[in-house]
Amino acid sequence: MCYKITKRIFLSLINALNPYPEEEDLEGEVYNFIMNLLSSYPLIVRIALFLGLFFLEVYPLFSLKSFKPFSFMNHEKRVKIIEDMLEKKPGIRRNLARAFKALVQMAFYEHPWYMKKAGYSWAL
Amino acid sequence: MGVIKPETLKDKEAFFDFLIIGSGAGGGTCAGFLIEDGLNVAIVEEGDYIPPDKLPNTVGEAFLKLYRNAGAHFIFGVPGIAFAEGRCVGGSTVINGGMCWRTPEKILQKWKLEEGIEKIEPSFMEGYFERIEKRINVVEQPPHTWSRAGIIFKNAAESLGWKVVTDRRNQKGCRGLSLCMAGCPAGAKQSVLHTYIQDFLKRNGTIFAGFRAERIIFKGNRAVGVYCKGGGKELLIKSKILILACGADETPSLLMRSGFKSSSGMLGKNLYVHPNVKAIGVFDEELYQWRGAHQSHQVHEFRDEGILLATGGVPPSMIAMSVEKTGRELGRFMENIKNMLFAGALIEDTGTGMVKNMFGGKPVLLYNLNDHDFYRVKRALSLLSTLLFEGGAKEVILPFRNLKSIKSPSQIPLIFDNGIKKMDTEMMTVHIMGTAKMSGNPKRGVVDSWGRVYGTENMFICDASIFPSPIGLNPMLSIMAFSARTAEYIIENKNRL
Repeated sequence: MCYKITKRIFLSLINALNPYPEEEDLEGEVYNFIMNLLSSYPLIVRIALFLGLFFLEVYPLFSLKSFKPFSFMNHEKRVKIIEDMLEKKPGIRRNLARAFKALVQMAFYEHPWYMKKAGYSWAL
Repeated sequence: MGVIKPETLKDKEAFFDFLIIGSGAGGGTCAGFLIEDGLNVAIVEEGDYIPPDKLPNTVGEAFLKLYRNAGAHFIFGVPGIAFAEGRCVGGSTVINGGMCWRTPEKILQKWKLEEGIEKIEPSFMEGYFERIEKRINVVEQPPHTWSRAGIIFKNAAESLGWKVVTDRRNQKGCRGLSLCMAGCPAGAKQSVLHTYIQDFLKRNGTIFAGFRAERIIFKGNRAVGVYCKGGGKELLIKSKILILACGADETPSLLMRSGFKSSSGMLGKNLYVHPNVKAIGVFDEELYQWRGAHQSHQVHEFRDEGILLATGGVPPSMIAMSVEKTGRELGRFMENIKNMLFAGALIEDTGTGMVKNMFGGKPVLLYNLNDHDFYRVKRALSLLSTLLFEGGAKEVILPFRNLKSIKSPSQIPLIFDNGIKKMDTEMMTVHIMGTAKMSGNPKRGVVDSWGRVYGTENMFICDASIFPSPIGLNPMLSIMAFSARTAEYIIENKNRL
């Protein structure tokens, strides 16, 4: 149950941060890459990230006064929430959003699809 | 004996004359020198042993296999600083850019004068530098491997009349893949894994890979063994002489969780981090910075101010992580990555932080950038911006939350705006040092002039934690030279220790 909820929130976060929305198929692979990466992180970081995910899920209640959780919102609203968190003054919300962004961007920009697209010769 | 991993471990106890904890620039070099003398030596390494021909092809894979915490390491303070270090046999030498600079003479003189360290004169150290440079093949980066971005950086610095030098790097047949951070799949980088560790294995040395040193066992003022854990297995290794080379975070942490206290009170203190900031130049021309060496030139013009400027071919994932853009906007920005020149500045810091142990004995790094160093961060970014505009950049992307980019040299003064705070600045580092300071005076340092821990008879440290101050340059060669110096001292005095 918890696994399913976590996966749903993570996938909605990946979807919000996807730099290439037309390439939705990549999102599953990005999720798998992130899970693999997380397994190497220290326990305390993993706990913080998972708590952060649940915070993100209920964050619309505080920011948009909406009872709809983050993972049930449409793409535009999710993007707006993440951008709003990134624009905050340094603090928990901004750091959390930056941590999520770092994880997701790392996965997207290490993907062979992007490497080929950007012209990395050794990836061809 | 070769490499022993948790899955191939048979005995729960082992004995060696010399035991080294850590296998990076310090531990690996020390092991190479000791085994050359025919001694019975073992290494314990927390990370895995990956043979040189099996190194990863991508940075993503490398993060998983070669980096501590898969690259997610952090120094807490104002501002928070991202930090990366190796955790594999060969340590950070496997994942660094391979820049090799001798310890500057003024630094050696300062350490001698202020800390009373013996036999540290440049003439004395020269022999160690020469031997190591020969073994790891330190050469000037040849022009055919310079990237277009590197050439623009060099030409712009020269056009401004600044002193720019060609990098000296430990490589043999560099193909300019710009994959140093993944361990160099071309096998050109002559890291400690490729050199001293292979020498060590050929001479029958033993490496316990995948074991973390949990606690040192003391008997009186002698370290008699180390209790290790790995892959669910436990191991006790006893030795006559113990050498710690776990890095400036893990070495003090191991000593602290073993209950050791330095009478100087300096253990874990005096943390220097060489703060790094980046600036990205956006050009009309396609540069493909990754088609060429990771770094080919450095600007040494401002070293007296404690500022070093350089290019750095970093993978797109790291650029994407660090720019203040998301979603489709980031996608559009990254379409132009081939037009970008990624450059950075290293600051020889004047403030210090500390290493403490959290619950469970894991180290946590604490460091606040002081006002003087923050001014130099801004100064460094103004110099980098000047250089990038001189090279033809139409925009320079900065690491500030509230000044994301500037579009002309006339906007450079905005960098010094009082509204830009430390907390708004994105910083990172790959060099930490100083947490088990060397000093001729036991009241000021943790180790003596030869790396022996004060208050012990047979325990030495040979990693960057012994540096009394930052050196303002890439520290790998300095760590290796001091490690070789300690190894020779141990060899000469082994019957008395």
